[in-house]
Amino acid sequence: MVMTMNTKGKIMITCEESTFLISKKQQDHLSANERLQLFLHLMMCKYCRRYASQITWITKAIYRMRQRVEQQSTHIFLTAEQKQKIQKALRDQQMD
Amino acid sequence: MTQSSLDPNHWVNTYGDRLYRYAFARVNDAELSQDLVQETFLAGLKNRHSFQGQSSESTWLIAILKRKIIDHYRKKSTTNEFSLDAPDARFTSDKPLKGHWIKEKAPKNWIPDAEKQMESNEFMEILQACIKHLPEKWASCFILRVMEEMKGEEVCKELDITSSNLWVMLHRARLQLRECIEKSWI
Repeated sequence: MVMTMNTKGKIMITCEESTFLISKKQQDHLSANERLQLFLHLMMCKYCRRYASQITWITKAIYRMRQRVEQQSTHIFLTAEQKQKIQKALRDQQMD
Repeated sequence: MTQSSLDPNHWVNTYGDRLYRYAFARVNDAELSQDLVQETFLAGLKNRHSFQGQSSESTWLIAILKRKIIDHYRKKSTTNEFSLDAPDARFTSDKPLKGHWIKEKAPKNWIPDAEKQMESNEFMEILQACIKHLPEKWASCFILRVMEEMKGEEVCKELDITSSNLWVMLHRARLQLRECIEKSWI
């Protein structure tokens, strides 16, 4: 049951199932039935409403974090020493 | 002509930092990032004859690095399997409210200007730490699917799991990540 989270044929779902659908929705389309189940559950459950907005927010924060490290991190770089080490490994292999 | 457009002697100085940042953004570990960059250059050198010149040198090197990162998470995720059968302790197992939030574990109301603070270094550190605390297999799923934006089928293939397992692991990872952030930050 937990493994598949099969909510077919139900109208009312639990918070555990609702959070599963919220997670799924981040990446995939929900079926019409799943959308209805989630909609009805969120109307009644403030905890899951919070969960949904917090999860969306965390996903955004993760993208922003990745972008930040890649683009504007002047403090993230290889030191001269590290570069020399890699350079040496490359030379060693070229000589083989 | 195409082969001569690769210039391994300049790789470290030209692409070293860029590849390092790319790796660091995905593995969050300085030493490991350095190793991955070195492995990437060595693999590039070894396979330089297969470079077709269709992509730029940097795109080609990034593609090799990306493969190294996936391999890293694949190896990591074979180590410990976290049982998914056990019911999640955040939800009650007693009827009639079976499957509903246990009140103390339910999401709290976050501060209204939380979104602005998302930019702060402090928050970024907490987020990194919370990702690190995930069980390795969940973290591998989460990073490849969400951060790397790989397709679900690809992640399943790389990590040798079924798609329903992937869904459940992503779900559990999010539950834990959210709770960790709430505990450390809010």
